[in-house]
Amino acid sequence: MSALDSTPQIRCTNLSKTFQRVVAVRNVNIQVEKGRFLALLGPSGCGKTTVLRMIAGFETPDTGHVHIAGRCVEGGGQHMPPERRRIGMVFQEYALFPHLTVAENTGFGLTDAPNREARVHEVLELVGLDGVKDRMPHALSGGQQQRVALARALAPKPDVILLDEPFSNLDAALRIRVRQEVRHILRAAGVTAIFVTHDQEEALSLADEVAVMIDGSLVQCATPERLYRRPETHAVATFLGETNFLPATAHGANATTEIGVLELYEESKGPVELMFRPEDLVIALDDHGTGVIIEREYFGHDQLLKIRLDSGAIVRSRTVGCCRGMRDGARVRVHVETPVMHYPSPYGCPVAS
Amino acid sequence: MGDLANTYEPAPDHVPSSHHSKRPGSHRLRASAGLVAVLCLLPLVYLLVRTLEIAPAIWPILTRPRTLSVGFNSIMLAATVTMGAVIIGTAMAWLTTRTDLPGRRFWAAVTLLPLVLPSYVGAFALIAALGPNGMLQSLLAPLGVERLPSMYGFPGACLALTLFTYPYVQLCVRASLRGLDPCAEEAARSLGLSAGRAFRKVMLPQLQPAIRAGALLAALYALSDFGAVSLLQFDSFTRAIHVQYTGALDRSAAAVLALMLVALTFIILALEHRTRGQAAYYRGSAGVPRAQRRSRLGPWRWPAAAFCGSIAFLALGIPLLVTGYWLAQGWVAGESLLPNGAIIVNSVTASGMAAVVAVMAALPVVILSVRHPSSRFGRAAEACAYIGHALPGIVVALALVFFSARYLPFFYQTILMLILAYVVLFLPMALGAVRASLLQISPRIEEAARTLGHTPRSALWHVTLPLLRPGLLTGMALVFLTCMKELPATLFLGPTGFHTLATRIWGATEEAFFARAAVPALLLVGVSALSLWIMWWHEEKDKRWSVTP
Repeated sequence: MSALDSTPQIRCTNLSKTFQRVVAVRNVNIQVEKGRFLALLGPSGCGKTTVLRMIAGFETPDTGHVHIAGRCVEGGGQHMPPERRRIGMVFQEYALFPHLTVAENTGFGLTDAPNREARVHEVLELVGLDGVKDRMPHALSGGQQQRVALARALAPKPDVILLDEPFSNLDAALRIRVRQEVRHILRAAGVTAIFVTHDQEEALSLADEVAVMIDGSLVQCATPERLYRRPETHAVATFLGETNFLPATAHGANATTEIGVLELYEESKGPVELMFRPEDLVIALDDHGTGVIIEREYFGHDQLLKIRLDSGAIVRSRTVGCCRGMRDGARVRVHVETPVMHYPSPYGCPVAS
Repeated sequence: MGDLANTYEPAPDHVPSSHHSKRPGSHRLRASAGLVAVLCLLPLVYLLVRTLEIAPAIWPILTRPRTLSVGFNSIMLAATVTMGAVIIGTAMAWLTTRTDLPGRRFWAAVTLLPLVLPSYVGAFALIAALGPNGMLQSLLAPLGVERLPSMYGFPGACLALTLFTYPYVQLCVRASLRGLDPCAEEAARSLGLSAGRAFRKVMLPQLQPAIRAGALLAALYALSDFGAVSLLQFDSFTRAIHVQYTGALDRSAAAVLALMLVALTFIILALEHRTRGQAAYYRGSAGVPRAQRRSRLGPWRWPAAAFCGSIAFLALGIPLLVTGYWLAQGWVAGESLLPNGAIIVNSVTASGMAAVVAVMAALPVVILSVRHPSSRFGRAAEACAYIGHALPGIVVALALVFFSARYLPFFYQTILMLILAYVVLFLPMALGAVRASLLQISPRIEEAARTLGHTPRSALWHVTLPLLRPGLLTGMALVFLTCMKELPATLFLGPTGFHTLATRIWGATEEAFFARAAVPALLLVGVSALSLWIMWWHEEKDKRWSVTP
């Protein structure tokens, strides 16, 4: 966090929302510092869009407060309507006004501004669409429509920008390019942004911080690296990327498993479950090793090996480059050299060391 | 833009939308929708109140021989017309879609065209052609025929209404026939059934829902029609109400008769609704796109074509011939062919104002029900606003006459009450058009305007209304054109001396002054054709939009 002393640009405290007896959002707390991007990541139906819409003012939370740029916009019986919150929003389906040109769309939020035209020009230049400002939205490609939506949201210089699944309407090839463009535009504009996504790659690659929501609750909020390396729960670990789990017995900073002694991020004692990523698993051909390769998927740049340990547990290893002799049935020695995360053991009884 | 082509039904469950918020619609929106609902309910409720006031007198009126005979007449008329329409309509639909009838496409189009004739125009034509001093008689006069059998009363009314209602059955059955899977019929034939038995045992049950839907339309038409029945002097409810009100000035009897008519309408609707659930059982095979086998008519080809030809001649040929004939007659006699300008001005003013008011009234109701589908208030308001579908025009007219005479003497016999009647009767058309259009507009577009600093009202004005324009215009056009044709409410509620194209035809036919009716009749056929075309075009457009991904 760059500026711990300044107030956060967006602060949500204890937000909860129930739709017809279904709890959609449970006690969510979020803070975003000025100029940073937060991704709200979660499977569909986890309540992330509801959180975004509560910040925008389209839903009224049952409990909790929302502060934007230090102003209380929600809570304590107050409900500021969306049009007074100074937010910009980019919708999943863009929601461009089909009866207005690109320039008119962009200037829609600038009704009273004296230098409206100049601002429209400036923002369209920023998103690289000044050349098409007199076109109608239907005459634009998906990526261009996306940028018009962004320009329109940026034009009134809002305090924050909210993006709802901004890339899900683009095809896969376009998505990565547009993602980079949007990131550059938002950085150049220096705005604070929250975006909702169910795509973990999108969240990890775009955001400064990622908040993972599962079943209406915020389970972890951290930088992308920390979230990937050190997911705090089993659920977060499986939601983000591929995982290996192994039972172990922890004694302080280390834990004993059937593949040897592994270093823990945090000290612990007793039976635990360890989590590490396939790329953490180091393997070597060894006739006296503890595992057998049972399946190999080759992707060119890397490969994924499925290994059955002698206990019957199955782990996966992602290795880069050529691995001669790594075929089905080959015996291998496996080990993990980086520190690993541990969770309370779901296995019940301690593992013999 | 692709996503505009989609229909925005009430939000999918994983994207909660503002309709869940604690305030379903602003107070202003709810108040406007509520007002519209109250206005729509007014005629029916007031008719009830008014009838209850004379409670002790109801029973004697109900048991009068005349009341009973009127009720009997109406039921007989509705039953006969429905039966006739079902037989002709089903036969016509089958002949034009599933057989090798010569000139199939031609007959398919021509036999549907009577839909554009307002019933009183058709009745006018039948009277002018077959009635006393009519064309047929003048053709036969040189042969010494002095009198034709009278076509007034039951036979005439039945003939006219059957001719103008069978196309509804034909339309319904045709759509269903096209969607039928030919496999069922082929399976029946392979199991040893003859073609005729296969039709009765397999096809007919599958066509039942369509036939039933067409029959409902025909029955409601026959019950609520005023123009043809009263021109042909058949004493069913609508004519009896008119006679009681204008001739006998017995308002209590008119009110009781009107309520009986409403009750009969609702009974038919309820019966249809109850049987519809069972009918769904039959709808197994939804349009398998496969070439359908055409039955060979063999020696029956030409008789079948003659059947189509004679129906088309009666329903379409006679009206056109008669109108043309009297147009020429009038012209030769040096009559002023153009109806006087005031009549056209009256028609256009009243219809135009009603169109604008109906669309304005439809807006709050539609916005509330589409944008806040969970609001019970909105659903109730919408249900009330659709009541005009079920109320015969003459009932609404009578109730508003009573109401304004007692409570709004300033408005009694002014164009305002007429416009109110039009709006109550034809609001469903405006609702349909505006609703279809609003469903095409994503609520996210309105939300985008909100995040850009626009209040709900400003968003409505700058975003929703411009995008809604096609729907608003369609709704206005439909209401306008339908009002132009409206007869009973115009007769009851028009200010003294206020004549429209519709009342002009009615008056001229009653006085057997046929030449005067010719031009208005032609104009109204044009108006009616235009409104049908708009409805068809609107439906096609909806279909096209709903299939684009």
